[in-house]
Amino acid sequence: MESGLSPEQLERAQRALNEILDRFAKHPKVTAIDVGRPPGEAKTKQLVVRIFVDQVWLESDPASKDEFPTEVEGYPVQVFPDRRPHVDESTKSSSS
Amino acid sequence: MDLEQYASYRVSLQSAVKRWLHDPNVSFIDVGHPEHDGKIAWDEVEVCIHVREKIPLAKLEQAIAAGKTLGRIPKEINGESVDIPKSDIFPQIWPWWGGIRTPQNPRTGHADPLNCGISLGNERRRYSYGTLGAIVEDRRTATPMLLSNWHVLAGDWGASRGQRIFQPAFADGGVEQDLVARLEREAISSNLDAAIARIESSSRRLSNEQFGIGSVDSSQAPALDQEVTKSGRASRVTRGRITTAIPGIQKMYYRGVTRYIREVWRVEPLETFEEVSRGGDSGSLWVNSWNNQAVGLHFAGANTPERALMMNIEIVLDALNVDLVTSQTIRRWNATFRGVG
Repeated sequence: MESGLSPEQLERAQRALNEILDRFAKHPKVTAIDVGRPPGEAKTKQLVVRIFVDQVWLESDPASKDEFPTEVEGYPVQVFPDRRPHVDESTKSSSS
Repeated sequence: MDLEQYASYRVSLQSAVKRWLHDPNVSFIDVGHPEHDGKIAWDEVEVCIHVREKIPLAKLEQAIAAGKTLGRIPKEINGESVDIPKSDIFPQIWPWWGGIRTPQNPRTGHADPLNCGISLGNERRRYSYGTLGAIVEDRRTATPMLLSNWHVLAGDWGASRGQRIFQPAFADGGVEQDLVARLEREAISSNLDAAIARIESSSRRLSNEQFGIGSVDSSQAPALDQEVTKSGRASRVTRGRITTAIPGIQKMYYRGVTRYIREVWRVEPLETFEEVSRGGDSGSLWVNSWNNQAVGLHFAGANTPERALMMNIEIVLDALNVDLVTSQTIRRWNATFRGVG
C-alpha cells in the first residue's frame, strides 16, 4: 500500500485504527471508520482516524460526539457527520 | 434503508395504491427518489405518484367533473412525503414497434463490442441498472467474465448461480434478446460488494475499453491522494481524489440486511461541487488518472457531502479469483472465443 506514510507512521495509524474498530465498529450510529484526511481538507497533511456517524443523530445531540475519544495513543481521532451512503444503483419508474 | 423505514414506506405505498391507482390521471405509483426542479434527489426517498398531466389547482374542479382525475393528491400519506412527478408510462420493451434502435445515450444501448462503463442489469430487478465494470478472466478456467457489484449482478439475497444478466438493463430498454451473461459467483459473503457473471452471448465482441477513458490492462493498489477517474453509466466520466490512507469498514444496507463492507476507500471531488458519482454508476471501475491502472470497484456514494466509495480492486479480484485482461487477450478472445456460451 502506497500511503505516503513511513512504516512507523503506518504502524501507529494502523494501531489506532484497530483500537477504534474494536471499540466502535458495531456502534449503532457509526457508519464508517478509516484513516484519512478530514473531509474537504485534501490539502492538509494531517491524517486522522475518521469516525463517520449518522448525521441526524449527531445534529440532534451534538454532545453525542463526546462519547468518542479525540485521540488514541497520541493519534488524532475525529468524528464527522455522514448521510447514509446509498448503493449507486439507479431505479427508473418510467421509460418516458 | 432499515427495516422500520422500509415498513413505513410499504404502508404508505399500499395506502397510495389503494386510493390513487384507479385515478385516470395516475400512471404509476412507487417508492423512489423524488424530483426537485426536474432533477432527481438521489439522497431522498418518497412515495411517488406519477401523473400523466399536472393539473393546476384552478382547473382541478373542472378536471374532476370531466372524469380526468379523482381529486387532489395529498402531500403526505401516513407520515411519508409524496412526490408527484409527471411521467406517462409506456411498455418498457423499447422500441415497442420493433424498429431499429437509436439510443440517445451510447451507454444505454445494446453494445457490441462490450465496452465497460455501460448499462447492465439482472432479471430480478427490472427497474434498475448499474454499470459493467470490467471484462475479467477466471484464473482457474480462463473463461471471460463480467465484473460488477453484487447488488447489480445478483441484486437480491435470493439470487442464485445462473441468474440472467442483460446489457443494456431492462430499465434502459433492454429486452430478452439482450441476455449477455449468467451470474457465476459473488464476494458479498466475504464482505465485498462484487460479483462476476459468465459471458453468455456468442454474438458480441469483448473489449477492455472504459467508455471515454481508454483501455485498462492492469491494476494497482489505491493510495492516499491518488487522482482517479471512472466511467459510469449514469455520471459518465468523473474524477476525484482518494482521501483514505488506511481502509476500515463501511456499514451498508442491502435489502434490509446490514453488511460491513471492507477495503473501502473514499473518493472526494477534485473541485468543490464537482460530481464524483450518481445512482447507476455501481460496478464501475476507478482508475489511476495518470496511468489508467484500475484501483477500485465503485459501489456507493452520497451527495451531502459529495463522495464516492470504492473497494480495493486487487482485493476484489483475489476474492473472486479473476484477473483483468490485457488488450492482447481481448483480441485473442474475439478471434477464438466468439461462440462461447
